[in-house]
Amino acid sequence: MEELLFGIGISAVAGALATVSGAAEDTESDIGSQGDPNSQVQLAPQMGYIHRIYSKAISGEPPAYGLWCALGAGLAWALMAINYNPVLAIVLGSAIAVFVQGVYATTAYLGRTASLAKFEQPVYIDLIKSVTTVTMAHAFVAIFTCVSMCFLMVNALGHPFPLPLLGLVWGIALGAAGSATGNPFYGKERQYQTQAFGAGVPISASGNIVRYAEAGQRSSLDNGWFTSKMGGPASGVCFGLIVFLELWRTIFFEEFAAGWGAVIAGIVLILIFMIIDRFVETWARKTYGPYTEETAEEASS
Amino acid sequence: MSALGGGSSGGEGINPVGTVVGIVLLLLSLGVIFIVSPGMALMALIGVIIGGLLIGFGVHFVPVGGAPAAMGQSPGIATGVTMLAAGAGLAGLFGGAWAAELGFGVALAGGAIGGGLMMAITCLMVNVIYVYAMGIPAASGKVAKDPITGDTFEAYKSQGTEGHGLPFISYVGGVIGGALGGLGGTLIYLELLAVYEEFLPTALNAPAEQILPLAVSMAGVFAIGMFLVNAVIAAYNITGTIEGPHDPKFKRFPRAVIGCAVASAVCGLLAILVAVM
Amino acid sequence: MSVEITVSEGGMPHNKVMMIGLVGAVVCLYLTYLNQMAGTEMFSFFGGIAAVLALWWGTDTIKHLCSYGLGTGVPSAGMIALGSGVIAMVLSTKLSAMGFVSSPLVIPIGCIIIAAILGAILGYIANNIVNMNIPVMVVSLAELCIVGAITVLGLSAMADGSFVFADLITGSKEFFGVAVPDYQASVIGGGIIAVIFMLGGIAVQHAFNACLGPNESQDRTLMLAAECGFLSMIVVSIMSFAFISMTAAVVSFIVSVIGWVYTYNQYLVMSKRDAYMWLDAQPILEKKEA
Repeated sequence: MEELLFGIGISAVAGALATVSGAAEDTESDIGSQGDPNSQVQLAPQMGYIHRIYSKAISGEPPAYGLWCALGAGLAWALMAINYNPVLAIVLGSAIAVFVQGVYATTAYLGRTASLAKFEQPVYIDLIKSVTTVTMAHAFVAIFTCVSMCFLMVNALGHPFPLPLLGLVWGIALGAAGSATGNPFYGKERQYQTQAFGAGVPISASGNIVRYAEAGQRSSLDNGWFTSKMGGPASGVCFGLIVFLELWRTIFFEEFAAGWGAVIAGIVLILIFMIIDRFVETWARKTYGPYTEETAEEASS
Repeated sequence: MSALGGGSSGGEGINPVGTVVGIVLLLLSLGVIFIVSPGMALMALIGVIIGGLLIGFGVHFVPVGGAPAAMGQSPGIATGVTMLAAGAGLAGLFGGAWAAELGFGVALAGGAIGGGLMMAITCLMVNVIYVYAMGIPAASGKVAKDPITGDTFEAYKSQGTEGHGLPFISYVGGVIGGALGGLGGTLIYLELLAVYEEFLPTALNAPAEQILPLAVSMAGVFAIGMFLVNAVIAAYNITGTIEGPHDPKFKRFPRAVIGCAVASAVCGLLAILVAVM
Repeated sequence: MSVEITVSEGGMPHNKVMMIGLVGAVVCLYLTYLNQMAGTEMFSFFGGIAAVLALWWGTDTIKHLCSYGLGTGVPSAGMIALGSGVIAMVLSTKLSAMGFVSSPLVIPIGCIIIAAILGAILGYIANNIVNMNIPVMVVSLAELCIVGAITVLGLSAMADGSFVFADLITGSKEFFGVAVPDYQASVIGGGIIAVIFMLGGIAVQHAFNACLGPNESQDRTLMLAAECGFLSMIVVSIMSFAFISMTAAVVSFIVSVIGWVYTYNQYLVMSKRDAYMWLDAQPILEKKEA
């Protein structure tokens, strides 16, 4: 019984760490403008819209976060192997991983913007000086919590994978969850604030991102405030639920039916989420209604 | 010279010469293992091949919208195909590896459910963002009616876009894709783990308990590597974005299944030879 | 609408980059073998330099491949390179223990041959089964697989001091003050090879992905590739403190930092050269209507 309580307690802590990690990851990727929404930032000069947005073209968020978390975990593992205290090792490992992330961020911004010289997009050095450290700070929170979560899984819950491998696995999952949830919010609501709310961006408006903001010219730093309104917490809840439910259903139900209890619990959970999603979808259709009048043919089928 | 949108995605349909050569390579790999070490290693290679083609098949179910989806211009999830599938598959691999000692069937089911659960939660949160944060209902651009629920989409698509969000068929597709990816990745992992646990103790002259962490690590790294190779081949087949099982592009899956089977056969051969030779 | 992605003409021909990269990397890998011959671990950093040369070469390969129209983006090329490369690399490290040739000197050449065959098969699958029909696909994927395998082999040799399978799977642990061999405290057993795998995966595609655009120039892209390589070396040298002696790790660290500072500086100089304008704290420079 005690072991069960301990396991559930650790799952709760891991879920909480994962929530923070997901929120910080999405905030970081919006401040630095990484991933799919960044394609609009890169397109803007080509369409004639010069901007002062930090265009961090590293790769998608999943492989990038796979690398930062694997690095943090691998460095922590190496430091623990030479008898560093585990907490200190994780902190140092995350710090060095964040240094690598910062360097990649600066080279990405410089590379893409210098290559857009044909479209007269200047390189703004003050962006590198002011925004890079902010993205690094958020990335540190994301990496540190993710590596701590992996450390708990290995040492407290007894997962067979070694720490660096777990860091890689959960880093890619973190990037995928955060990217999927946070990208549309940043892409449509922030970059295309001037478009009508409640509809997608028409293709004709591509590249016309917001460059003049509430006060002065838009800086990527303000995206942090914006993301923390909804995109960040939503990504955090997404990744936190993933980690917590994965751990909880295994620890709680694995004794039943020789392991099949956890599988059945998982199937039930998937069905519950499917029902919630169906509810969300029908609520939207009923409450928002169609954009145009439905034709008689469609209404009758 | 243009990089994207160049001469790729040539020709629909299966290329007969390529397919035959691929199947010959697959049989050659099986033959090499049969000569070197029949029995368990051969079964493991067959398991790896099945795992690889499950991954290739599963990737086609996942709804990916790419860069336009990030602006509400096309349906799907706004991430790349390879990496979204990798995220789900690896989350499944985590669960499957944890349940490995409980038995083969349980571990496989655990891996599948892990991947499916991750995609279920992620797809739900994507819809929550679209509906509650952006005020946009889900609509597909490729079909007029949802095959499962019968919802009509034409009137619910905003002007100038090709649809947005995740209609229910895409949601279900995402869950199935995650489940198949987790299943395939876990199958590859379990087969390689079994081979290493069997052959490494004799090769290295050490007791089995000591070898276990090494076997787990090697099997894990190879499983991730093979997962990425299969996911990239499937992504090449999809060429960018796909809305899910209702998308016309979905019918291309036989090519990717054959390609992934051949790729898994060759990579699996090399991975198994590490322990067996 | 998607970003206009173009590739620059001119610069060093791809075959020349490939020759320099391949021959240089092989030479550096063999230089790490001086460790075994001299009974020290000081020459480990040559493995890292081999990885830098491989990444430098691989960047040009990705650029060459994308100039023929890839259609799904650059990061996936890096993933398939490393995913196949790591499998080829681990098999090749075992070549000296398989009973054909007992000298570890066969490992680097064996690694290249196995990786080339694996990459060519994957390229054939992509071209002829999945119908990508890109003229240089088979050659490019073969090159990328070799690049991935050399990167993992070089960085593992840098972390561990040797590229032989038996050394990569055994580490040592302190047990009541006595060093005991332990499979879990090694590069492969401890999962460090996963970190190296991802380091290579991001580094090989970053240089071309970050420098994409109409004004991409080969020397700047390749300088960024070298910078990514040295950055990876810095991190691996820190991780090598767990495997090789302290002085050897410090030597690796110093070499990596010197290399990184030089390439990063050169990259900044070249970016300043290529940029439209290099402004500090200036407002948006709206384009003048013609």
